[in-house]
Amino acid sequence: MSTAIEKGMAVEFVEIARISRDQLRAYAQASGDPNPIHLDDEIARKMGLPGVIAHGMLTAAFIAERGRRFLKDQLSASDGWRMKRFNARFKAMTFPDDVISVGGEVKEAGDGKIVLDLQARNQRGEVTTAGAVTFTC
Amino acid sequence: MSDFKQRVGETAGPYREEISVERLRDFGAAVGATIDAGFEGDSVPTFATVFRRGEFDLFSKLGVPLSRILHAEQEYEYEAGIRAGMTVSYESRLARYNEKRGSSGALSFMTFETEVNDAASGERVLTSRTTIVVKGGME
Repeated sequence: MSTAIEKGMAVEFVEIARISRDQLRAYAQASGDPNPIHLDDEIARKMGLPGVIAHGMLTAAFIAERGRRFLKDQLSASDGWRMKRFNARFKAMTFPDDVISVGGEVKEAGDGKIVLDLQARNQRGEVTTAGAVTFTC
Repeated sequence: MSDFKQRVGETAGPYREEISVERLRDFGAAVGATIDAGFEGDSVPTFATVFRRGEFDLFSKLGVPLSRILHAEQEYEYEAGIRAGMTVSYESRLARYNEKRGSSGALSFMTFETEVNDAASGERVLTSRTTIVVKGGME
């Protein structure tokens, strides 16, 4: 199966979200995560944090979505391609008002398999989450 | 190395959960994902994060200090895939335990593996591996 995706191709960094407390509440609810360090500044401070922090898995979701979007944009027919593997390593914390972008590069492409190396970065250019998504068809 | 190495293999579950299309859509809205009608499950691959009861029960069983843990890494391997309307059954186990002594003190790493199956067919839906780090170690 031929693809328009080649190894080494860049996955452009796209701004995904400016983190808000509302989003953290919505994500806590939707993901069933009651941990107050994402919701209550006072409790977060008692745990030694400057205030609430975003769920690492929220940035992981941004990475997964960026990967899916890239595939759809590059392939005229992305049917038949499914995510086979997802991986994320949490490197730095994310706070309300941080602006998260996701991008990276195509690590592998061919033989019915596409692997993207992706990072979530904040507005200071720091990598908060490093991940990889594998699609197979 | 502490006694926790010996607790590798300890399990929790099984648990059952129904996956409604509303829940998938709510998750999609919360993370800003585009939901493809009819492929809601495929649209939010990290929805798998909701199957965490086993991990939480193992935290209790193992005495993991919740105020000292950070989520270090997450991995999902997808097989049959999540589908709206399905009921899943899942079980978790402590798959790995490691200790490190660094400049900032002791660190314990624990990986929990969760097997999520289609409750109706028994078919594997996905496998999740969650790694947490315990600052100060488990002792």
